[in-house]
Amino acid sequence: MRLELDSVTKRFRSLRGVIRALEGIDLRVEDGEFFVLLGPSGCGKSTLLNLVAGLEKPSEGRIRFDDQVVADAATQDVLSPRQRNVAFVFQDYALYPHLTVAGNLAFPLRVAGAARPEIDRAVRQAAATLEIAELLDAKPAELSGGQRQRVAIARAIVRNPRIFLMDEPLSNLDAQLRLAMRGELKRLQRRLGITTLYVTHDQIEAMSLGDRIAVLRRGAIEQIGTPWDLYECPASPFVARFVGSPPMNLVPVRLVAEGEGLAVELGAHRLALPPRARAGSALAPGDGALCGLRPEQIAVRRGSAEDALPATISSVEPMGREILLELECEGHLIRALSDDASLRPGEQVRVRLDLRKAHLFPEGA
Amino acid sequence: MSEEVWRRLLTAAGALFLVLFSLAPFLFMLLVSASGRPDFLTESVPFSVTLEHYARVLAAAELHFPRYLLNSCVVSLAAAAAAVLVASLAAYALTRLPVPSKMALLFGVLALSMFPQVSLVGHLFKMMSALHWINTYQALILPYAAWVLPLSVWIMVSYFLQIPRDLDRAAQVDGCSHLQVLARVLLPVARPGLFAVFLLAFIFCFNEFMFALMLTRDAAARTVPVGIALFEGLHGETPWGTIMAASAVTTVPVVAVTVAFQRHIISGLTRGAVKG
Ligand SMILES: Nc1ncnc2c1ncn2[C@@H]1O[C@H](COP(=O)(O)OP(=O)(O)OP(=O)(O)O)[C@@H](O)[C@H]1O
Ligand SMILES: [Mg+2]
Repeated sequence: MRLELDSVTKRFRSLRGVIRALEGIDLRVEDGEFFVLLGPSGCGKSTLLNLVAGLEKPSEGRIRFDDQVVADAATQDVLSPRQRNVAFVFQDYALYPHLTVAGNLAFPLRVAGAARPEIDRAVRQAAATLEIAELLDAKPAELSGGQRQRVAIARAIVRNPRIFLMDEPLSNLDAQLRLAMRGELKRLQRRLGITTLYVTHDQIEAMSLGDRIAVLRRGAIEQIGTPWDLYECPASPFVARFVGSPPMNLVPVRLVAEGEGLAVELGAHRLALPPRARAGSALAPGDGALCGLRPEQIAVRRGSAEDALPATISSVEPMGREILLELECEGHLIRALSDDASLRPGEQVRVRLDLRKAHLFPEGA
Repeated sequence: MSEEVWRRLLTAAGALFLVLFSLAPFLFMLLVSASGRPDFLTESVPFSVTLEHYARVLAAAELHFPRYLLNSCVVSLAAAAAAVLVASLAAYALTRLPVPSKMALLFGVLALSMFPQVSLVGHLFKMMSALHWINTYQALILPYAAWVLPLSVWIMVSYFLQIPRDLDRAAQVDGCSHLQVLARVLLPVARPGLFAVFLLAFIFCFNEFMFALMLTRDAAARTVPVGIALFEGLHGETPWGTIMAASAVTTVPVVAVTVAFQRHIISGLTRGAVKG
């Protein structure tokens, strides 16, 4: 199913006054796509899911499932959740504590009035898919977090929903389990081919799961694209900081003319900007800018190379294969990756910035 | 003796005292109800055991006691059921639906429950007379249900507030209407609360005296507390033996309902205590 949101806005009236939870959201999720909503806490991710599920009504705008309008603020036509046939997986699983696992899985079918044999068949099939067949007689309170998660997902797939909505379904699991479930979820979605809208604030999860990702900030969409797009061409400093781990360095610089092209001025140093880094930006000499560099684009060396900047190591953080360095360079704190395990805090080093893949954002963006 | 032994002894003594203190009236009631001479304490007559009072209470037609018991049970069960039903719906609306000024409503409900019964009973009498309902079940059931409703609403609201909102969102997404959410998810999950409310309401109604005194006239609708109070001896004396036997029999339905429900209430309490 294709999901479309047309300039959807959601306002809440509460004691705090009017809260603009979502502002002019335009979104199109293609049939069978795994689409991730990524953003910090409070940016309106859950609100967006609730709107799609029909648990909330939009204040403005329209929501469509394929060609069917399911919510239209202008005409006040809003289909209830039961009319939409969506499945929702909640962060805290929201299993019915008074029912067994089998009862939980059967619940949506019972409510829909399905026949007994059909319910049994669907429950057994969903349980087999999620490998929870031996848990069918247990109550949710007897299950571990990972098992509850599986039950919640099984309950979602049991009745062939038009769309999966998942609100941070993995965030209550420990790191190992989260990794395992991530892969499994992705395979399951591929196999079932059901359009999925997945909410997370974890950018690694978003990158590894999403066919496409929408980054939300304060109720508005900051950028939509494939994980690769977001990583390679972040549309704003916010996205640049949010996507990628360790996060991108954003250093304030001044642009100056240098021959035909441009150069960035960083303290007393002047670094020529390769043409590629300027592509698409309307920056001119004299402008201030934020220069975005990923930690892996900064090479740290001992000794003196004349085109490298002097820096002081302020902290060293081993990350396994590599070492994350925090450096003091021209009055800025920058992070770099190195594989030299002998570097120590306080040491004077030289850093070379690889500006070919630098991202320039206009000052104040 | 070690400190540990002392501690145990004192605990046991304290527990024993509490049990005796709360059970003493009850035991005295049983004693009197089974004694041949209810005045055995005042005059130095020997204590004798008899079941005569029980036989009289249960069989004597002029006492109407079995009828009183039936009336009490019917009225209390109906009122408690009505209170639970209305309280559940009210609690659902107050905790889950966009009702304006919920807090004001809740405190209004609480304020209503503070009217003393005496201030109501006169008006109730007039109302029931006008309806020609005096001496009928509904004359008691309706005021009783209304009378226990504030407490019931407050208890149900507090139980519903503990149920995570995601649970009813899940139910809604799974296809439930509001009433189905209430019936299929909230009420089963809040079952201990439901039973607690029912039990409390039942006991309140079962014990109620003043409304019953004013709104009933004879055995057609009179309830046990009024019935017992109006027992008369052959020569106008207070028939202690009969009263105590009747009281003893009256505790049976209350104890039965409590025992039947306590399993649900307790299991709910302990399940809530263990996180999960
Ligand atoms: N029912 C409501 N009434 C009033 N304000 C609300 C309501 N629901 C959400 N909000 C507000 O809308 C904003 C977005 O909330 P939302 O729950 O969508 O955030 P989120 O992105 O899901 O955050 P998190 O990652 O912490 O779950 C917040 O400022 C929140 O306070
Ligand atoms: Mg959320």
